[in-house]
Amino acid sequence: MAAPSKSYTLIADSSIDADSPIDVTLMTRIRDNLIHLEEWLGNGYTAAQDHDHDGVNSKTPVLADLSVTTAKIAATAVTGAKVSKTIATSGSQAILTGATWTPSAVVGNFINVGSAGTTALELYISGAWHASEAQFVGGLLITDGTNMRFNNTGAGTDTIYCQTF
Amino acid sequence: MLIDKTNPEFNDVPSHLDGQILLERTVSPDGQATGWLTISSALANELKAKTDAELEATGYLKYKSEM
Repeated sequence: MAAPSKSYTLIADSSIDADSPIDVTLMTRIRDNLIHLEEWLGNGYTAAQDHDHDGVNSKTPVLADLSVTTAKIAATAVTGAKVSKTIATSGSQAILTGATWTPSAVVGNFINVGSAGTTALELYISGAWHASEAQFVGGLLITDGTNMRFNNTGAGTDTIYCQTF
Repeated sequence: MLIDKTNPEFNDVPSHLDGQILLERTVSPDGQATGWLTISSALANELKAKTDAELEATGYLKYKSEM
């Protein structure tokens, strides 16, 4: 952002008392201070009372990265249309008998393409792992990277494919 | 490889996996870990007692060095 073309200079009380002349120095300072203020408020925009940073009567705000917090977003403001459907990563993980796979914190589609069909989705709740009744087949999952895992308790290898967003 | 959360090498590993055997980190193309394949220490001990042929049959032979 460009600096105002004129700098602000304090006009001392001694320059405006009853005996002070209205000279070039004083008038220049008054003019320069007005230019400084005008350019700072919105030099290239249409002047308006209570300007609202809409790009018309003042420059639109530039938010710092990560400055929009959860509290600033209305409860139902994020619709499906606003969620990115672009795949960020994709891959697969073979899960052998007796092994668990804990995905990192992601939102993604997961499917089980293994032939064993003995891998369950488990959630860690109240200090214990709780397994789904049936084997995991597939679905959209949201995980924090800690409290959800796949656990292959059967005999044979299952392979989980995933697309994360 | 035994997961020891006091070791900075395991900073990215979820804390509840502490004490498990890490067989593999699932890594995305951008190099980020996207998951952790683990087994219990008890299962690792059982597997270590098996022959290579037995490990091959279970699929664990490729993870022999991790146990």
